Amino acid sequence: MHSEPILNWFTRWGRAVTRADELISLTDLTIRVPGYERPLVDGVGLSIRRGETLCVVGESGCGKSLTSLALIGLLPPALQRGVSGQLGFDGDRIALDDQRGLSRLRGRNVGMIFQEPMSSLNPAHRIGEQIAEAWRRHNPGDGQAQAVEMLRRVGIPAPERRMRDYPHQLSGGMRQRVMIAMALVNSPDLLIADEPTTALDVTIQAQILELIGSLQAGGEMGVMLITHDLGVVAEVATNVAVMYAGRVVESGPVEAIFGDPQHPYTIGLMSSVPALRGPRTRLASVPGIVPSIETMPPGCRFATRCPFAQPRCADTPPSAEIAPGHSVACHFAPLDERLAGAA
Amino acid sequence: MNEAMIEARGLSKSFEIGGGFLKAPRHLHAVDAVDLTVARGETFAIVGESGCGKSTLARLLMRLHEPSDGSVRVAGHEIARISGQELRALRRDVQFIFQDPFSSLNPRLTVARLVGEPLEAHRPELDSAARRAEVARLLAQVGLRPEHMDRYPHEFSGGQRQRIGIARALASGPKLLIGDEPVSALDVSVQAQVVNLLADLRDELGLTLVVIAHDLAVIRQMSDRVAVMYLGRIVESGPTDAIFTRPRHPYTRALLAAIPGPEGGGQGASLTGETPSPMDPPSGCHFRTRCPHAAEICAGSRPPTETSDSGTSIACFRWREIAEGGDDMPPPPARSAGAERRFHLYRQALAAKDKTDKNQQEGQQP
Repeated sequence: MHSEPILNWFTRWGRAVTRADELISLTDLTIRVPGYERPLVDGVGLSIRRGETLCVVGESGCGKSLTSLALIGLLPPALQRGVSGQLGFDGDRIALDDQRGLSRLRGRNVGMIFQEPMSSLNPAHRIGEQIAEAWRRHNPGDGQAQAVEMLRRVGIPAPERRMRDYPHQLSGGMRQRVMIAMALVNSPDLLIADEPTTALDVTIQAQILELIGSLQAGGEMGVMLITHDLGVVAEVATNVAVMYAGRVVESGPVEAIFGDPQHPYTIGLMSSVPALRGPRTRLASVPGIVPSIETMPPGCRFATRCPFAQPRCADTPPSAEIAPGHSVACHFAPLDERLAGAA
Repeated sequence: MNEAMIEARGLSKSFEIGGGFLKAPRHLHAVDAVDLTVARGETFAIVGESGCGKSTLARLLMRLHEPSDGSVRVAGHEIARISGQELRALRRDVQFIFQDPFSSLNPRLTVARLVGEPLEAHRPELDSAARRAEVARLLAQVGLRPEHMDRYPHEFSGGQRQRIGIARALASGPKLLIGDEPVSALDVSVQAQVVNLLADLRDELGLTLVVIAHDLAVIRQMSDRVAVMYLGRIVESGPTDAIFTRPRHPYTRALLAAIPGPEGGGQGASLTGETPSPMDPPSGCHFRTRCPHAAEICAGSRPPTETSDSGTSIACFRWREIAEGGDDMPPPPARSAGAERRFHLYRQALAAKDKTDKNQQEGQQP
């Protein structure tokens, strides 16, 4: 899938990635649920290089959060039992059902930010103490100085005083900054951010995205950002993986995904977003609803909603690389040529 | 011009917070002397960030809150003083669509009961067979099938539940629908379906829509006119196209600039800081503490609302000076030819599929 390094790839976040040092490579992640024929997450592969941001985009139920949880061994036990696949992390290979190996990665090598900071922070402890605790888990010392420094870096004014605040005393945007401080206090190699700005107002969202970008800039950290918002993707991504019903249907550099979208689901998703400028026309939506695990069709999982679907879509489409780094799992890719031929 | 659907003048709502024996309560001014007019048949949008008072304003418009001050006229009737028969008529004519289709439907009732309930209240003359037929008609109107009638809410997806909520709102035969974030809990592809549905219903039934949302792109898609709120006040309002191409108020400009993506402002975080507490708003212009153009005059008194040549109303002391320096929003970035062609193909295929689906349905039901 990732055949050749993309050199001199300029990200919107201001860093040129010149080396192709791979940080994460996830291969063939599959999550099975007992009693169901078709897996919940099916053969997902992703890779992230140092300094890059991979955006995993998709709608609810597409498996994007499950994928990130599987990566760090934090799936609920019922699902953890059905996991298979391989994780390459900075040269090491770990099987995804190896809980012990994954837990060693967590914390020190991986930082996490979730959508709702209020439910991820302990309401009964001061925020400074919570950040210091994250430091102490992996380092000697009490972590107080590091906590103050992190609060300063995430833009919280008067950090020495703010250390003593409880989470409820902070606004949503400030809480998310605290979460980021906690996730980054151990200088992780990988930051996983699961819908980090979804609960925030748009002006605060812009501040948080800028903050994550500035903390990453010039560094070696890779970021995996999970979102449903194509605007966020266009703003921050180096690479994009579009997920639908437990599979990656299209992946590639952000310019390829927006400039040359190939999978019908990617195109439908983009057509569903209303425009901010230009003429206002009726939205082209994606008809129907996402299939559940009970009603998952065989073959291409998007076939039940796809306007291009044909009988052969009952076979699983292979993921084909149509341009360097740009892969599409559709029988008809590249779309215009094949469809023009069919018509 | 015919009579306005909604006319609000100096509408205010403040809530008392705390207080007790020997301790005076504090006041939270959720809505602060708002004027607005909604014409019949138009879609009017209220946009703003959390805590700006947009939901309170919506609830005032159908008297789910009693206003602290000011007046609201709906279809010519002052609603602050009505009761009994007239209040019932208001409840029939004005209906609400809620944000969360998961918590706004009673999980123990079937769809037939959920949609039939408002029929019992507002059209008691229907017997149970006629009511069932009416429910089936309402479900068809929102794109659900009659066999859905005997199912429970948990059997539906988010988008379908929102359709049930809309069918329920339509049951009383309203003239005005107020949607508080009607599509923001839905996935993008489903959101587009519901946005289209609401537009169709408005045209078919001649409804007036008031939509409250925080998503500017959705607002632009749905509305004819927009009001932008900040800390309880409308800072800018006017025709949707004018607001989006020539935003004049610094807050409107900042909101548009903050939207991520190629179409958004692309300027990243143009505003520093956060919205001040509505318990203790800044003096004068509420926005001045975050405004890049704030000057001495802004701290003195509430800025008057002035009208620009593009038909928008702006509550800002310095909008003329700012307008001279600032320009319009740049034209949208061109999509690549490949993407454009792909989008076109998709629309064509969608239309073709729609047609065959319809033909098949008609074939099944001769």
